[in-house]
Amino acid sequence: MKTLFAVVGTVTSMAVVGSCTAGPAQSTRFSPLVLAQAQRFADAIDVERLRAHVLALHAAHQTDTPSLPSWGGGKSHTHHHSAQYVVGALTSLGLEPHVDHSEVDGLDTDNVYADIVGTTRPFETVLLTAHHDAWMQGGADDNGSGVAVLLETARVLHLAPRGRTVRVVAFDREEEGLLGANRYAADHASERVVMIVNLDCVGFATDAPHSQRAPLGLALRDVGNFVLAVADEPASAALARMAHWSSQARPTAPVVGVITPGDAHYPVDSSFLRSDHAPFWRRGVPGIFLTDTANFRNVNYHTERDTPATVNYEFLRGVASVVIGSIVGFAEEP
Amino acid sequence: MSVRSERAAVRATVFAACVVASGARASAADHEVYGLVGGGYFGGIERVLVGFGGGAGYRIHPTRSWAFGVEGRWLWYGGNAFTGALSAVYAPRNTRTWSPAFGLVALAGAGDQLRVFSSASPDVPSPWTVWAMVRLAPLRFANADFSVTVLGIDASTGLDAPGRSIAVALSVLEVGAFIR
Repeated sequence: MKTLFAVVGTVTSMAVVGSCTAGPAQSTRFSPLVLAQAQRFADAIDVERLRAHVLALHAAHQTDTPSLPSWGGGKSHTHHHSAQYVVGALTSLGLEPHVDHSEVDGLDTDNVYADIVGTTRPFETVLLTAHHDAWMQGGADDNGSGVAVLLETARVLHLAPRGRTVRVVAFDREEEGLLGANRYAADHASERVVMIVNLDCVGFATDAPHSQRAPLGLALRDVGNFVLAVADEPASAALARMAHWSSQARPTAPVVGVITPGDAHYPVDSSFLRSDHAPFWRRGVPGIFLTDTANFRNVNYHTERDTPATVNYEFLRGVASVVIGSIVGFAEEP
Repeated sequence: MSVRSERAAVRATVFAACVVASGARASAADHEVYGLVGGGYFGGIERVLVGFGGGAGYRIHPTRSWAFGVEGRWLWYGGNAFTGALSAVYAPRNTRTWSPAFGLVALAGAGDQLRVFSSASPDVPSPWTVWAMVRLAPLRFANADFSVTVLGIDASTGLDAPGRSIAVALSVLEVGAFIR
């Protein structure tokens, strides 16, 4: 009997210790200095520029020549004019956009990116990403909203670069299976990416009761007026910093944070692998995915009704504030 | 149902039948060890810990009606998660073959799980959590040497947010042996 107790005790202890072993503790708060810097950048956000980007990107999809993938269930896909718009917008800021043109599975793919080079650690990169392609010639929330925040962040940040390099990347063909992000992650695997923040559908919010649904088994609040921030385990401390910053920021958007286990290796993660951060999570890159939860909230998701009129621009301004402050912190602090 | 799982179900049924057929002999056994297969879902506003796996436990029977035990389980789905439980159950022993068990369980969970928080309270939830649960094992059969429980359930509506959380641990099959 004593032997039995010893074996059970040893196994239980090993299991508990093994389950709780973690890496070195990271701070879950930005320093007061960084918070002050973040607020100065947040103050510079221009909601009218956000609105203009969403309108322009929607117009770009409207005037594009759509393709009709045989497997797309009759849905049309557009991406040429949106890529051109992102190139033009980054160029107008004085940045030098790169276009990675490639053929992925026989489909032409244009990833667009530009660097705001870091002052003290230029070879360490913080990625801010959003896909520019869209289904159904709509694409205001999905993902004009994400690209608008990306472009506004680039505008505000490039005037005062931070310690690390901030690279803004507009991926192509997310809607067709993360083709652009998969290609980018493979081609740039040797670069040192310390964090990726991915934006996909960040402009739809409402205070209506029962407007929010959630994946089976996950209890979210039932009013869809928050931005969901999903982090892999390596980014858990960064997510806490983002949530804390959002509680301090003005303007702001409420953040609901979810930390997923297993770094996308387990079935429960599948609901959270729907966008361009997924290839980076699989490579172990700390990452945060921001979303208004798309079809779990927005009835216009993947329809032609996804128009600029349905975007909540004050909410989008709050999201931009959360993003810009967090990017400033990630680019400055360890 | 696969052929393998059908065979497992048949074996479990045969074993249960053997226990029943052997009758309810008296025993002075005070100790019981057992193994189980089953799953668990522990969800609330702060976390989701879910998976399927197995575990082992030990019960001491200080009286003929009550048992107190410790139990550990491993669950896999949302990563590797572990639960440990202390239980106090009313489990009449050896007075008859059908020996249902009912009681209370204090369960602690840890390991890989979804953790949820917000800017209103921007602290990452602890990887540990505790539930007070009710144990329902109406399909428990025992004789002097063995016990078999099918579809035993530990359930709770949660302490952190009653009505918005639920915890269920299901033992599909538990097989125990009494040690003298």
